Amino acid sequence: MSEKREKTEDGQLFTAPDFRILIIDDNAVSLRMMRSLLHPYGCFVDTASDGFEALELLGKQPVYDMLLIDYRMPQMDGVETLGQIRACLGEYGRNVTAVAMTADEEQAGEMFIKAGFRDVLSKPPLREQIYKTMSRLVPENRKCVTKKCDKKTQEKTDLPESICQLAAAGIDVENGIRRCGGSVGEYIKILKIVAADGRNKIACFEQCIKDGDYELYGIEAHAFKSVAAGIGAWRQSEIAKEHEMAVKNVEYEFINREHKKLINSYYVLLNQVQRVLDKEDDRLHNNIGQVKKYMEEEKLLKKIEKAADALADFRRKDAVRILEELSGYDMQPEAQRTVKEAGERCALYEDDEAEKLLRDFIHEGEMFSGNL
Amino acid sequence: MKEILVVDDNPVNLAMIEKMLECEYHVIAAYSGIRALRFLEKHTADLILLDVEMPGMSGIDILGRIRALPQHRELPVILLTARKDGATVAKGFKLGILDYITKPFEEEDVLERIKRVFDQSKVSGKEEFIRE
Repeated sequence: MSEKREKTEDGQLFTAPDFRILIIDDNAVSLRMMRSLLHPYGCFVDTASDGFEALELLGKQPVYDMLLIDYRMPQMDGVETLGQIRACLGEYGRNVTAVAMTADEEQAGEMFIKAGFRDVLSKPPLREQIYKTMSRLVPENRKCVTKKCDKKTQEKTDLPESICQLAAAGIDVENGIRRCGGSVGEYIKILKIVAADGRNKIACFEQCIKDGDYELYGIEAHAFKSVAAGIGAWRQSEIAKEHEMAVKNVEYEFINREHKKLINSYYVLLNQVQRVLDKEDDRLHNNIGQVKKYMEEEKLLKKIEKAADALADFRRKDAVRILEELSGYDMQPEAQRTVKEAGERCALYEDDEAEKLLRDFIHEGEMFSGNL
Repeated sequence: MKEILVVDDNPVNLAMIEKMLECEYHVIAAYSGIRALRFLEKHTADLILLDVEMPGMSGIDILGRIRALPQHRELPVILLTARKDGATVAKGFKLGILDYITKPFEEEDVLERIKRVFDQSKVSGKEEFIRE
């Protein structure tokens, strides 16, 4: 059970370990995201992928204290699903607490309340919204209140400012950090890859549209969906998923009409990520500021050859370590550029290209011609 | 330390998986089927994590090529797939995959499935030894 505690309005912390929630949503990413947002409350969370599955599950196990029901679902929408639950599941069905979830901003909350929902959450919901709903709808006797949370504790965070800004822009950084190995450093490493790879990917999306290559567009949309979800950018992941599905369903009109939305969302994400990386760079440069040592040409060549050999021998980490070491030395611009570019290629796992850059540098023999 | 070859064209996925596994396993990351096959020509691994959807040569194509190499007919493979694509997974099972993982993946899930595959191999290895 999670050790983390969500705070109540008066500054107290609570979990609800014996509170059971069923999320009903046809979208796997939304289900995962809701699970993640509910995680800190420590409650038991189950999921159903549509109203029919929910009815079957609730018919067998009417044990859930709260139902979170997505409005837009195929065949049976959220309002119809709740109607069926109220009508078919006896006393439990008539009384169970239900909360609607909707991505449709124009959908009036009043309609949901009239349909028997106790609250409405927007999709994707903000952590604060979840907190308000949970505070209001989890009965007091089911909350495990632990300790007073003073202002200092509330404001305390281990995240650097740049990452907090990413969170403020709507990225679920906590989830992203967890997915990237649990540390901010690793998360930033992944963000670097996202930034470096993203520029090529946007060009690729644009080329696909130009060429009418929807198959490749679908593969790239699929990759973007996965990358965005990996760093906690759920909204972008959802958009990418729509496009991936459109390709699968041969809805090319949708792609032609909406591809700019996808590309813009990628741009926005890359800009947000780049701002984090720029801030981190500034921080590093402020901390370093030392004079680099010069490396002798012969020694430099040997090191570069060693890095190339490591790549050829599938020892990527050895190559990365050598290139990182070299970047700490002073050398002529051509050598500097090669080391930097090879390092960037390695960061993207493009090991063949990195090796080629290094071999070309050696073969061109620029060092021996005295250019270095 | 057991060696796992991870094949995925997406560098973010490669980095994430590498990070997840590096404490317990030695990871060789390949960003294309070609590179993975080049690795397998000269080396071997204890397990392959193979992405399905890659431009050019798909995971299933690569798996077919791997199985054509006599020394790797029995090499344990887990497919990485973004959704439960029944047809693709079925093709994978025909080509001898032991499991599949849907993306985006959870660390616990990935580690558990890998462990299960290694435990299975250990059991079947023991059986073969007893039969001999």
